[in-house]
Amino acid sequence: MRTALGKKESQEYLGISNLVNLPFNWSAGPYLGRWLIELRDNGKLWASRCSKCQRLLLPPRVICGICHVRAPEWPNWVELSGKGELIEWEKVVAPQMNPSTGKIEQEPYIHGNILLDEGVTFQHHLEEPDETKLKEGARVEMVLKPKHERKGLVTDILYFRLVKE
Amino acid sequence: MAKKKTMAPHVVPGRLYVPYFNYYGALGSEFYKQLRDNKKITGVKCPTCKKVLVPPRSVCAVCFNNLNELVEVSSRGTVQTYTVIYYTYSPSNQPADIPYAYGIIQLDGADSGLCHLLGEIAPDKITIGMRVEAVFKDKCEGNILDIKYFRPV
Amino acid sequence: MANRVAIIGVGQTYHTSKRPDVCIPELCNEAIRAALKDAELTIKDIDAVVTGNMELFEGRYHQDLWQVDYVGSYHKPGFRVTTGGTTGGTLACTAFFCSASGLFDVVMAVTFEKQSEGDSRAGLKTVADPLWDRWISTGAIGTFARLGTWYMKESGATEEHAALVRLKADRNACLNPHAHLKLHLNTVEDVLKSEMLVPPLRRLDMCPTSEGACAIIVASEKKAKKLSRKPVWVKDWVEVHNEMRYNRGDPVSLENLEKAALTIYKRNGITNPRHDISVAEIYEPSTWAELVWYEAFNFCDKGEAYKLIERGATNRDGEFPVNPSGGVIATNPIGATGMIRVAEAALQIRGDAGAHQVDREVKRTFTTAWGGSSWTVAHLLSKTLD
Repeated sequence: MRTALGKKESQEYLGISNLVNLPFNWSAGPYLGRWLIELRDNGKLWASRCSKCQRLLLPPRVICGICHVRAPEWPNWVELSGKGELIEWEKVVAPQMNPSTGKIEQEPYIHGNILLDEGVTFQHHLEEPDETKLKEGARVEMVLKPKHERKGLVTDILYFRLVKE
Repeated sequence: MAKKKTMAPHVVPGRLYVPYFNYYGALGSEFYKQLRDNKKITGVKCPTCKKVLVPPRSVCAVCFNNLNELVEVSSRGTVQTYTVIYYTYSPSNQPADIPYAYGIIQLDGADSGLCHLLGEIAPDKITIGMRVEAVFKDKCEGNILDIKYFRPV
Repeated sequence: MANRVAIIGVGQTYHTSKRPDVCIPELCNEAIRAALKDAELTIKDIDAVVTGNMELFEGRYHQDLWQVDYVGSYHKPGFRVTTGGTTGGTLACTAFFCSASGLFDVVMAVTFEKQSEGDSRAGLKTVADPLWDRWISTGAIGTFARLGTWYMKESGATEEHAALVRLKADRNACLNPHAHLKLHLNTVEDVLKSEMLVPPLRRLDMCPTSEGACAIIVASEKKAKKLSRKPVWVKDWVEVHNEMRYNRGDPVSLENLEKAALTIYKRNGITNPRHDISVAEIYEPSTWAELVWYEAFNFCDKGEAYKLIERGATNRDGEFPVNPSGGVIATNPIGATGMIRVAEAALQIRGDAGAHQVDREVKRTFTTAWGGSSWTVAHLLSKTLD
């Protein structure tokens, strides 16, 4: 491709940096909002039980997606002990960009899928420096951030760890 | 009837912060190289519609021809319309401090308008039809703000 | 369906890892020109244009607005649909709907992705709910690693079977001029020595990030018969969603895939998929996904998928070719990938796939697209109207 000014097309391809930097304020709503507030203020973990299929909804939400039945509101929720067993986990070592900050997070962490004793799964970080101790079915328990550090976010739960024998 | 205890709405602040890099493509790169290296503004001519489009684009919307011959247009032109921005927001990606004016400028030789800032003039003195010329940065980088603004001739 | 519809043209770019020589609309324009050439039409013959991609990958939103010139939608009706990983499949359905409705005769759908312009993993993370699991979302790699571990335990398959899937995909991709990764792998060892990402998932078990675009042109029955010598008839399509969260303790959720396939089979009298369908082009982002999807789509009984790959049943020259194009494992411009399945299936039915053409009459094809919460789109294409 030639330009009319007589220059031959060079191989330098230009572009432009495009930073998407947008702040948001997300309404958690009466169900998830209450769940987050209970976690922040009282350190409690809750789930709602569908009155038709009886499965636990974590997080509690207004409707059971399968039954299309309105789920019970707080305080008609089931309190969870925060204990359960490890179903599966993976150690994430590859650095990843955090889309909320644009920063590359280098620290490896363990992502665990836990079956809580009440019969519902939950995903969170697992804190265990010795990976060989992680086994399917291992008992784990929730550890919260100290109250003054909790903000009403899912990360008010610091991590899950193996229950000490 | 007992009043139902309601909870204050819980709002979670968050942010999307993701850097991207979008390519101009071969034709777009040539346009920006002419700006950066030669301080020239270029457009592309559609052979069927006989119109010169600035900034250049590689497909004509009307006849769907592929366009790839750059032609130089003047860095002087006429203001077709304009507006003045008085508000700001955060985080701001605005190209200038408020209040600032920008307009659609038809450069001599072009059949389309170029959207750009209008500078060195008080906002209430801008008129439609006024003649303006491009003011380039000393050090150009290969983006549209290599033209600082258009000022009255 | 109000009108019966057919695909009368397909086009795609030569998919690769980076295309700095084109901006996004120019990439779409290449695929569109290829589709128009294939259909022997001009842009004037197109009544409406529908477009889509996964916007979080390039940070450019509402592309239906700023690429009007390039996709030929100037003064034409049309709209944008973005559904994440299933975008290509959903856009194909969108074009089918538009044409079947009777409001438009000839509809063009174009999808693309230009992933080098952003961080794909960060883009994928933003799909997750910011109030619940965005902070922990690991994107695709974790999901497929877990799928692999689960499948090996359930069926007795080994990592060698996943490697065989990669070898099949690579052999097919090497014959497909549009495919991205043509690695010329020879043995299972070539695959097994690739970098381990998250056990058991290796780099070669995962799809690449590709850049490319795909376009298809769909016409209503009357126009299709008039404009095309080899229309590819669209018999059926379905899209099935799932909740974003799995809270029944299952590490994988196959319900949508199973339901989508069952719906298509039931509505079309398909009782033995490997016999009643000639070729399948399924959306498998990982070798493990291909094995598990064989069972989810009822190509074989549970626990038997690895036996199919072992005896070469799903090779291009096997009894039931799956992904003769090389599949998603070889080429994955995410927004376009679902549509590439449809385009490749149409080429197989027409006998126009070239070197990677399946060497027998292709009467019916089954194509799928897949997205984050396991939601699935499936289509059934046919050589004949009945």
